[in-house]
Amino acid sequence: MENGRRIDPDILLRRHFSREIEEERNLPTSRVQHATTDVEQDGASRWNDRPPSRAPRRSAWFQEAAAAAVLAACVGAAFLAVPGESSTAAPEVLGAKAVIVGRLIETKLVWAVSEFADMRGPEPQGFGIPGRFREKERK
Amino acid sequence: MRDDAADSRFLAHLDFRELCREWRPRAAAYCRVFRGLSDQDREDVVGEALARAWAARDRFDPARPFAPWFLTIVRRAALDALARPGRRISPECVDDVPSPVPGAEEAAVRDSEAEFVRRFVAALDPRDRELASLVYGQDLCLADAARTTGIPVGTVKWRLHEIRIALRREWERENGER
Repeated sequence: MENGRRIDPDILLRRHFSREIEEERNLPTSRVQHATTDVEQDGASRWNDRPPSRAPRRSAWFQEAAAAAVLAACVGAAFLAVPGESSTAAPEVLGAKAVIVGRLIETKLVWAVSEFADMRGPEPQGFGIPGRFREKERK
Repeated sequence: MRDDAADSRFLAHLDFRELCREWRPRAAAYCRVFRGLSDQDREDVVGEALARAWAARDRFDPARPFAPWFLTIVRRAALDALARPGRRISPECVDDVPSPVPGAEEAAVRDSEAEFVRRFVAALDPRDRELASLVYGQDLCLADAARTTGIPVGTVKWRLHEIRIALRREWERENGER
């Protein structure tokens, strides 16, 4: 170092931190770059594209249960529509049966629809930007 | 100074690979200010931050500069990593991050000015080191550096002023001793 030489702290600090970035840039390919292929294969690889899916990941059990409810509703409707039985049964018996099956169908359908709605609901806000910056993001 | 508006326009057409290529080195360099992180931790943090940024890209406003938004995510990921329960800080990663490029360290030693600044920065208070990294390394303006770190702008300005004074004083002290 040269004695008495004036220095510019701004230049020295800028040079130091730029050198750190350059060192990182010259590092060999890291796992991060390998991971890019996984992300790109996941669907939207462009910044402006929509994310692959906003639906939360639910277990297959929900889908199967919802499908079973719809099937049960269909069976109930088919039971009501059996031509031979409808011709012989008394009107009041048929009416009571219709009410029971109707309620069953209604209950199961409402449940099934709500399950489907849940499956397509918005992604929960798990991660956010901390602090005041988030408030400004919302504006 | 980096043109943040141009960054944002550029990033509007960015894909994930480009995001990594452009921002991984900057994020990794920024992570050096978090001294509790090992090289492996830093790589994990940068990967995590890139994934988070990609997942949250629809929340990014292209009218705003990208760097503060992204570096806030990096910072959050780094602090999460540091706060992870059961995490052990290895002694070798507390003091300084060794240069990972073969030969670069020797070059820095030859360059006494660079070596002086490296020692000075390593001895800085962690918060001051982060501010200097954001302003001088990431080219953030004072307001963006303040927003990223959650420190008032006036404090950022004052701290940077103090850092400059301390650097000059330390330089003069070292030269005066020789």
